[in-house]
Amino acid sequence: MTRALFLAVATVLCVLSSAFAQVSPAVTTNNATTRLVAEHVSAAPGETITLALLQNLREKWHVYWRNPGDSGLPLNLSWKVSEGFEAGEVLYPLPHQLPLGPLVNYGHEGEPTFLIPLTVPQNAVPGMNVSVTVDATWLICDEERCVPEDGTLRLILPITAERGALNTPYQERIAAARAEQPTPPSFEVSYFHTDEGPVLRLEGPPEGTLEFYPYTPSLTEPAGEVRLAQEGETLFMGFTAAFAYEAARPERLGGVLVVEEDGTRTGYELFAPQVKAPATSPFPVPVPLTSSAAATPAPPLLGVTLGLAFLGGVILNLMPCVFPIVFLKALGFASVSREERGIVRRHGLLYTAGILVAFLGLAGMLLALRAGGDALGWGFHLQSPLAVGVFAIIILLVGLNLSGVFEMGTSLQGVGEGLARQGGSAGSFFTGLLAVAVAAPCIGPFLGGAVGVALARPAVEGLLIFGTIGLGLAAPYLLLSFVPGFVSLLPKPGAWMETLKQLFAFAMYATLVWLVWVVSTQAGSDGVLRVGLALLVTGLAAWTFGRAQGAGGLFGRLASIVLLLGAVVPLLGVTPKPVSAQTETSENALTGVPYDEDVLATLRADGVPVFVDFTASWCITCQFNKKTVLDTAQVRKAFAVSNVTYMVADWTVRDPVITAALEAQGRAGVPLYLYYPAAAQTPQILPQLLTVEGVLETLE
Amino acid sequence: MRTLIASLASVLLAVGVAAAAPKVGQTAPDFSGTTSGGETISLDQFAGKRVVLEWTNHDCPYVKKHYNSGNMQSLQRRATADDVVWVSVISSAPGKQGHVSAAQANDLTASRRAGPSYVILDESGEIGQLYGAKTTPHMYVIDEARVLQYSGAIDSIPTSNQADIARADNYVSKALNSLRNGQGIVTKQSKPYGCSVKYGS
Repeated sequence: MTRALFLAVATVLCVLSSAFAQVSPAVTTNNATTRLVAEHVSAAPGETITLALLQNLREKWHVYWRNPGDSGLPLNLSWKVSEGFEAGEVLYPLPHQLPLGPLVNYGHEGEPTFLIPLTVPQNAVPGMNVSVTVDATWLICDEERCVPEDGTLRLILPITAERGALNTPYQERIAAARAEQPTPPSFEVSYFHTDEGPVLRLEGPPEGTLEFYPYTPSLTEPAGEVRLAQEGETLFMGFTAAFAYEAARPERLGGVLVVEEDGTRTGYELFAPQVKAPATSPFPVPVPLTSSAAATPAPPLLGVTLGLAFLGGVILNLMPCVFPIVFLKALGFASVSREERGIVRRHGLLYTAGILVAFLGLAGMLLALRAGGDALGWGFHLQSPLAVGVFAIIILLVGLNLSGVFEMGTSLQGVGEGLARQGGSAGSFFTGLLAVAVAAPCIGPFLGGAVGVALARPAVEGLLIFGTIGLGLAAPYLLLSFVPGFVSLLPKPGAWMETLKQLFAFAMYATLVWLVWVVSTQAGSDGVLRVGLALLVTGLAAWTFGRAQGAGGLFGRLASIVLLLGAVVPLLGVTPKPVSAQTETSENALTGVPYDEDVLATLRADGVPVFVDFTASWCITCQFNKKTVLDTAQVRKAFAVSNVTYMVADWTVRDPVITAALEAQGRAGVPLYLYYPAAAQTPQILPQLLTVEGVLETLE
Repeated sequence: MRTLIASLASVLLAVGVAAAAPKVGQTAPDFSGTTSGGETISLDQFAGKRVVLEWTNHDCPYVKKHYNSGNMQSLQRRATADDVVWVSVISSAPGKQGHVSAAQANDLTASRRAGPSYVILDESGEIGQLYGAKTTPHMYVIDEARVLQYSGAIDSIPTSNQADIARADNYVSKALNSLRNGQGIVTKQSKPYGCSVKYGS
């Protein structure tokens, strides 16, 4: 009897122990119940079975994914298993975004199941019961509090010759967790670098809401903006770079893409290889996030930008190529009597209209070309030698007119005497157009920032900014035509005006010399020859026209128009010839290496300081800076002493890579000077007008 | 197209503290805030001095790890003895964990024998979001020229276990030492660990 009882108890105990062996006792903490279970009731030698750490979390509390996002910590497991047994990496359930005020975490709520592969050694002996123990720590939080919790979980795993049956009470939960595990994608994936951060390219992903969770923390900002674009079947997801990405871009961007469709979440495990960025950004409006350094962390307010744009426009009036035209036009007012105020006002408005039409036309063209995918920036109209040639013809015509070779009287110039005439209306409008045409090459340091903002904004705001620049350019003239008092401030007209006019012609010829030089850097000696021929024929046309004016001959006028059209012909054959920075190098000159992002990255990785000069031969400010600051003995010496590599990004002719680099700094044009100190993550931005002292200080 | 629109919806929550966060190597943004002593201080006024910013929440277990062990206090004392300005910032919104009145903040400093130069009460979270502070603790080291030199965790072992402090690399004291000796900082940025900063929604 005693023996029978003992046997019965022993049997029950034995059955109980085998039934509960593969399950640890539950550990109950304040905010979670946690247990460790094996998927099968017993394991065979040499195989890998699955363990599952099951958590039931308090409502509204969460634990964290392997990359926890902005804050939080993932599950930490420390195993104590017998010799030869090995627990593998934790397989997490699909993560969720958990926003918390301005932060975003990646984690799990409810009843997360973590799977852990456990390898049983070959030499495990069937019949033995193995103890599997894990010290688990996890951080559990709700919106209010964060509590680190821990527990020691222990289960007994019997070893049998064949794997045992499924562990019934938990089999469904474990199967569901396994089914949820991310799988390799059936579509092509890659990523490329942009200055904002990595961009995932997904070739035909499944329909649904997309979320991407990178494995490595701090590669992307969990709460950062995600930019999306679609080209046919291809989807682009652009992320905001975080510091780990900026420190070192990964060869492969690893993580889980979660696609949610009709309430079902499907995970894909991506290891997207890095590929070269496409020439044009897939995103419709490129917003440079790395705006110019710390000085302006936020994009400038539209009002401030408009103010600067207006001021820049006013200053344009003082440019050597613009001033003569505007000044002489303004002087003409002095000779107009008070009865003609109305006419003067009309002229002022027409002049303004001319300027606005020209400016908005130029800006509209630029915005349209960019929207069409061309990587262009401000100054694009000077990147083509053909356009520079046409500007040269206009400047020569203005110069010859000022020199008195011919009179435009009522149309192009209309200095003074033609004002009251009927034809003068069109004249004022064309003077406006002309002012922009001659100002266009000179748009320099004052407008760089405003134009940069204009291009980064939506088209409407961009046009508004360009329009404001135009208003600024028109402002002095407009003021004169509306406030009679100002006219009396002008000097009285007289014979001296003719002298001044002829003198101003030389400002035009100087501009011409510069434009010819620009062509020489863009299209070489062949280009100079062609522009020279064009200018020769232009001169002939102007002279013929002037003679015909004197003689009143219609034939001469027609001939001059034919000649002028003919002047453009030699220009048509101009072909751009990229000129590298080194061609100008002589022994004593500053030697630079051409801009190359790979070279730049290598130099920076090697801890070599780099000075990048974004320049173009048509940019006067750039040339001024180079001659007076960069290419001086002092700076050359400082570069040599500090072992600085001088890198030249020559934007004289179109270059999408350089355009993109400029935009990354929030600029739409040159000049831009960047200094990357050794081992610094971000460049210092130097002012657009350099000084020797400033550069030396920066190098220190 | 549906994919795109659906994705957009999921992403709109996404303008957080990331956008404005200052970068290491760049000028640290100026701020001004009210201290537990009732003064208004700004970063500007400490020009020429090194400054440490410490985001804190006295009820957070990770903050407790460093205060209960005395680690944070000893860092504060060593730093301030070396003429470093130490500013503790509390960005918990009213009603959230860690939010304190000026008097409570002073009591905490006294009872924990803490040694910050100032404690700023940033209940609007303005300064926290300006700096992109994500956790408590989240540490920032700023040099004499107001350049941000370090941002991230207090040390290299992200746990709440006090026993780990001794084994960990303290990034803040290393950064301060390097700055004092004019050497380059080895770890300039790390992922901060701890409780999330309890910003208002």
